[in-house]
Amino acid sequence: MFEARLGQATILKKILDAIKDLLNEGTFDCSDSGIQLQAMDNSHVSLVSLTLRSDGFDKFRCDRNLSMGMNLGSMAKILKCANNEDNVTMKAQDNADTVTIMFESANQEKVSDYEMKLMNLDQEHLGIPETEYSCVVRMPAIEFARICRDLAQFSESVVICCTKEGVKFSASGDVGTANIKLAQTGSVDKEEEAVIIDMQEPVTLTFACRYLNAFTKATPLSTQVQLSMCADVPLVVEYAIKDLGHIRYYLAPKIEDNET
Amino acid sequence: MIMVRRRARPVKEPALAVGTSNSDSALAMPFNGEPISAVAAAATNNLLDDQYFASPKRKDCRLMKAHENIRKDNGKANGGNSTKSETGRIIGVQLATRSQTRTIENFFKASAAAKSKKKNGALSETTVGKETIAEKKTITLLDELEVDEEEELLLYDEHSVASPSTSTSSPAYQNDDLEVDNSYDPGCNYTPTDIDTHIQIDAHTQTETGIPTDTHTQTEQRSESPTNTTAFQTHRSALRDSHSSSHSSSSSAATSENIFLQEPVLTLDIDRTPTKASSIRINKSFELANAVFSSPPSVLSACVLNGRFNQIVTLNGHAHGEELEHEQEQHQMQQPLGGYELDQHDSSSCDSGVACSLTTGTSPAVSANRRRKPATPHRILCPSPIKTMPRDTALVKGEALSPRKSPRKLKMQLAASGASKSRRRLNQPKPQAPYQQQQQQQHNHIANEDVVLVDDEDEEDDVHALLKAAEERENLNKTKAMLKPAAVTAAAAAKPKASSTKPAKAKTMAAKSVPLAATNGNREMTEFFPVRRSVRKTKTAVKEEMMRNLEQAVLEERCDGLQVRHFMGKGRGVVAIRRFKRNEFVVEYVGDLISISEATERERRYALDENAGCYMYYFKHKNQQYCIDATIDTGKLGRLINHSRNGNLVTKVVVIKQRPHLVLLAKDDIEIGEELTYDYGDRSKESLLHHPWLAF
Repeated sequence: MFEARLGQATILKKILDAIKDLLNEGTFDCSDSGIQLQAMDNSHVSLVSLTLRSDGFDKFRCDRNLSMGMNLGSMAKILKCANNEDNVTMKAQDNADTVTIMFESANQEKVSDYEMKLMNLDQEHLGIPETEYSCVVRMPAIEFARICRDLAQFSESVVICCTKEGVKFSASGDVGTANIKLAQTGSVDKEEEAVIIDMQEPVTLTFACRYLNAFTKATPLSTQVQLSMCADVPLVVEYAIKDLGHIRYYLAPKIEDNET
Repeated sequence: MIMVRRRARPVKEPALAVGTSNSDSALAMPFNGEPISAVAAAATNNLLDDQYFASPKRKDCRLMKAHENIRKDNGKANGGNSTKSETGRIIGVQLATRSQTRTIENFFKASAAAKSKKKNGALSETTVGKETIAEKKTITLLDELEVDEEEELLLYDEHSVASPSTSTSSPAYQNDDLEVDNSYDPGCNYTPTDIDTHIQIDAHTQTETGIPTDTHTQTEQRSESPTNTTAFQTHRSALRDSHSSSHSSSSSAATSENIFLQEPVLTLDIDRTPTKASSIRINKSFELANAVFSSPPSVLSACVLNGRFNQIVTLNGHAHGEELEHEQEQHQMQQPLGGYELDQHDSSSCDSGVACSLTTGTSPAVSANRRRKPATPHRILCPSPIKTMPRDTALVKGEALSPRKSPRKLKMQLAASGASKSRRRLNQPKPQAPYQQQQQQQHNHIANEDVVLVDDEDEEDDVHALLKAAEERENLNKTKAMLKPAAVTAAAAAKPKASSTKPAKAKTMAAKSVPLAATNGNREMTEFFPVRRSVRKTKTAVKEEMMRNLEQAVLEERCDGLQVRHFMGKGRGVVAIRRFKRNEFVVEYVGDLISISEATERERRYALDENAGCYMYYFKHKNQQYCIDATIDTGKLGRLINHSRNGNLVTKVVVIKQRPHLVLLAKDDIEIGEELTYDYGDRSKESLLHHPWLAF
């Protein structure tokens, strides 16, 4: 028996919105410690890793480890049926082939039940090694989204260059070039708006814009985003989900050559 | 379990299912005032409905339906809306959320039903109507589930088959032709005829197959049953074989003649070397089974039958995806054989059978004067007859079974491993980058990974492959506008070899990388993070490993941890001077591998020598009787291990370089200092007479 209850449907909605563009389907691995989802997009360029800790749920029960393969599009559709303030409960029997998603309105007057078929997905799980990143940039999530959106107009790929002074995003294409520099904020008044750079070594990496833009779908989940970079290692874009866990996107760097 | 039930009530079941579900759809038409008369009318329309009414079990169900119908009629009189929700509640309790839609469904169905009545099953229904009927059907099936507990299991099958039709996830309500009807696509066509076929298939599933395989046509499903039974039979026969291997056989003139009757055995047997011995053995056991040697014709016919049976068995061993006809043929052939088979089974499992076979085995001359000392003091029979030790039975059986089963299993295994391999290959970083560097790198990569590919050496072929692959890919990618043409060709160029050799693979690869396909220049995740694979091994892998170990052990003539010691009253014996784990290789029984005829010859010779011990190990492998003669003292330890009915070793036949070897494995964990023993398997009276220790 698996049962997880969240106070607000809006969080789950946002999570689904954040991953459903990249992934068509994914396996939710439910265990005592929480729910995890790890999946690559179809082109195997990026990887989504979602972790929802059990203590972040209002109620969490998972008697046996359970893997629920879901069509994320369908899941998102179901979640669209929920009001933001609703309670969400996900339920599944052991070895079940369906999952039940229940929405209860705050005053308990409306209870809606949705049952979704599960899928048996044959997805491989990647072992992500612990990595010491040479650059870790924390910045407002909205800012990052904005940068990615803007630079996508210029080129397919964006170069992220992180030095002691700050982080520079640049793109060059047929139209011209675009450069956005962010300096580390001197005085931290509001933590949400701070740009914090933790750098061991300067790094310059090239990434595909479209994936970065897909990642920024998670912007509503968090005020801050954390970019971790290291030469020849996938970029990690992490959005923390408050009190619940985090969602991490991994993006393999582009091959750098003279053209770009 | 399901199969048994099915057998128990073969005829009624489908009739019920068909009857109910059909009449349900008939009942659902509220066009008559008097409900039961409406039912009757519907029944006359449909022959199957008669069966429905004939079965008293359905009374409750019918009553309910009638009741429902009355309501519906009332509702019609009242003007529709209110009662429709009522009926909705009655029918689909579980599907409460759909009650809104159901009202419309009912409405449409009414009209549709009326129409179809006029047009006698016309196809001009609205799609909604079609869907409704389909849904109705499944719902009623659910009802049945609750109503009839006895049928729960069977109906569950039915339910599971029917359930995809409820989903209507990908609705493709086209007009149907019968061929499409039979398939169980989620979006199959919901027309009246369609439903009929649905039900029919359900019925078939009930009667015949244990597992309702989803996308079978009716005929296929019919053919399924022979497969099932044959599979079953094979299993049994395998069992029997393992038993009856304890019958030592020999070549007697009378039986060898029968070989001519059994030519098909020889031709059809795909096992490597089917010989006289195998067929003779069966005849023998058959004779024993009947215990009547009086009438030669009956024996002859029995031989024929046996021959056939043998043929079936061997065929079964290999014919997995064979044609329907074949299977049916087999099925037919098998039926008259059931009785015989059983007999054999019985005879082979008892001790007396062994004794008998022994006497017959030792040539007519010997059997004539029984009182004489048997040719050899005793023999070693593999696997030993059981009966006395039920616990060990399973073990020995299992052991004996495995070599027989292995060819088929291995095939499947190979296929499986092949599949998994290809899947694994899919996981390899796909060379989609157009850049030269990348290409080079990928080439190397693939080469390392042992993917079948044409190397750069034969460039002509390469070019062909390139073109072909590019073509293929372009076809596949036509819909994918995301990829620029250049990128397409580049990507195709990057992985032409793999796709040219394995187009199917390429297809899946292409299918996999659909939406965000603009990976040009991007590396893949799998380059950085290793795909995690479970270190747990499958059963087959473990088995394979074990076999490899055994093979190695035999090849290097391993015999460590053993010591020869003298025992009072027993002579030499072997003790363990190290621990052996369960199923571990201990020693091989080394000797000359000889045929049965040679063995009888040698036995006669050894019989003259009083001091010659017993070192003839008879065993059967792949239907052929062999003997390993270790009479000559070679200093090998395998031959010195003593007998015990509760020994701590078991024998296993291992084929190495197409030659069967006998290896002794630890039956349980063996401690240091324990004497190693195994069951010689000889239970014959003569042997016991001369070697009373065989009884221990």
